[in-house]
Formats: sequence, C-alpha cells, structure tokens
Amino acid sequence: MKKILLYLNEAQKETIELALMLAQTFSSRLYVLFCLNSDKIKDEETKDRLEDEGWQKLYDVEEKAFQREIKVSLLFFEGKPENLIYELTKSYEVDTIILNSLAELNLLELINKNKAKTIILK
Amino acid sequence: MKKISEILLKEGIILDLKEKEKTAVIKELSEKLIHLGYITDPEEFFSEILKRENLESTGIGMGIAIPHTRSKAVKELVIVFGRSKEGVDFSSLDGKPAHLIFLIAGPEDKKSEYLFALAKLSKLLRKDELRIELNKAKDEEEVLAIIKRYEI
Repeated sequence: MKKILLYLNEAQKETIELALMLAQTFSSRLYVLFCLNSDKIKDEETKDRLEDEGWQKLYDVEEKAFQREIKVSLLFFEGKPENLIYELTKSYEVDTIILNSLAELNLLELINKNKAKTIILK
Repeated sequence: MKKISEILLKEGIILDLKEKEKTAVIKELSEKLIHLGYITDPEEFFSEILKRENLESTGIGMGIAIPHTRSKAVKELVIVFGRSKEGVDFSSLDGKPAHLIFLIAGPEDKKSEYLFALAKLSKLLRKDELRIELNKAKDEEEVLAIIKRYEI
C-alpha cells in the first residue's frame, strides 16, 4: 500500500480517518481528490459553492495529514468522477482507492475499470 | 472571515523574485514577513514551513505554488506574494514550474481563518484570466487590484 487515493466527495469522517490511518501505518503517499462533478453543476452559484466546499475539505484533510507527518497531495479537478479516478490512479500508479458508499458515482464501473484495490466504506 | 485582498500585504509583494530554487524562494518570501514584523521566531517559522514543504507539494499546478504554515511564531494571518519569470520547481503534480507563489502564514490558534484563506486563494487562482493578469501586473497596486476585482 504505497499510494492511496482518497475520493473526498461525500466521504464521511470515518472514511477520511481510515485513509489517514492506513497512510500513516504503511508510510504511503496519500492523494486526496475532490471532484467538481460536471454533471452536477447547474449554474455558477452551485459551482462556486462546490468549489469553496471542495477546497476547504481538501485543506482540512491536508492539515490532519500534516499533523501525522503523512505525505499528501491535494487534487482538485472538474469532470466525471469515474473517469478522473481512473486517469489519476493510472498516472500516479495508485494501488489503493478509498471511498464512501455514499459517493455519487458508478461503483461497479469504477471497480471494473481500475486495477487498484478499492476499499468502500458503508 | 477576511478577504484575500485584505490579508495580502502590499509591502509583501515581490514582482521579480531573485531566487530560483524552492527553498531559497520560500526564504526570500519569509524574509519579507520577518522584515515587516509578522514573525516572532524566524528560525521556528522557517523550519515549520519547510517541514510541510518536505511532506507535501504546495505546487498546485497551473504555475502556482502556495507554501503555507500555521505556527506559534506567526502574529497574524497574512499573505506575501512573489512572481518568478523563469519559474520555480515546486514539484507540482502537473510537472510545471510555479510562476506565481503565494506564501500564507497563520497563527497557531486561527485554524479556521487559515483554512478558509487557503481554500479561497486556491479557488481564486484556478481562474485562467486572473493568472494571466497577475503574470502581467506592472506593480504592487495592480496585483492587489486584480485580486480585489476577481474575488467579488
């Protein structure tokens, strides 16, 4: 477990905590992804609110990671989450993906597409 | 919560950074803060900001880096800005050098204000036009005016 990707959208406290705990235990690099889901952006106001929310969540996790001396990289992208997770997992050679079952994405497509192990928290 | 234009120090703007290497650039920007009296313990501050830099890349891509730290050695939440024509390698995930470098320093007990400022600045800097204008700004006043205009 050298490189972990945490999908932050809809991730609950326990999911974030698991990602941090695993990254600390295995001295992994933690990639934290917030995706601005293009299908959900109806207007500028929604986009603005989601951007604020995303960056705040990202920096909140970064602060927690820093306290535990975990190597962390923040990722903020706009697009379809399933595609972004696939592309990022491939380009950064991520071996473990962590997400919450509440995540609004096609979990089956995600699991089938990616070679990385996927941990889904209920 | 304060706006970015309210915490970005006009006296803390360097339009042409002398240094070319990441650690030296962070030091050059930190020295501005020290000179302006915002840092009580320069050694502690510098060591903390570098510690974070070693754990994570504060280069967020698109030619931007936001080195940051929250420390007891900081008196109040402030931002200093440096611009590099050649660009500085901040190990950004997109592999591009940083031309616009914003250093955020916050006091230990101002966590929410500090996180808010980091989020606001990161969001703001995603705007292509803003980055183009900042790269072209002729003086400190113009830098502040651009930030003010875009954060409305």
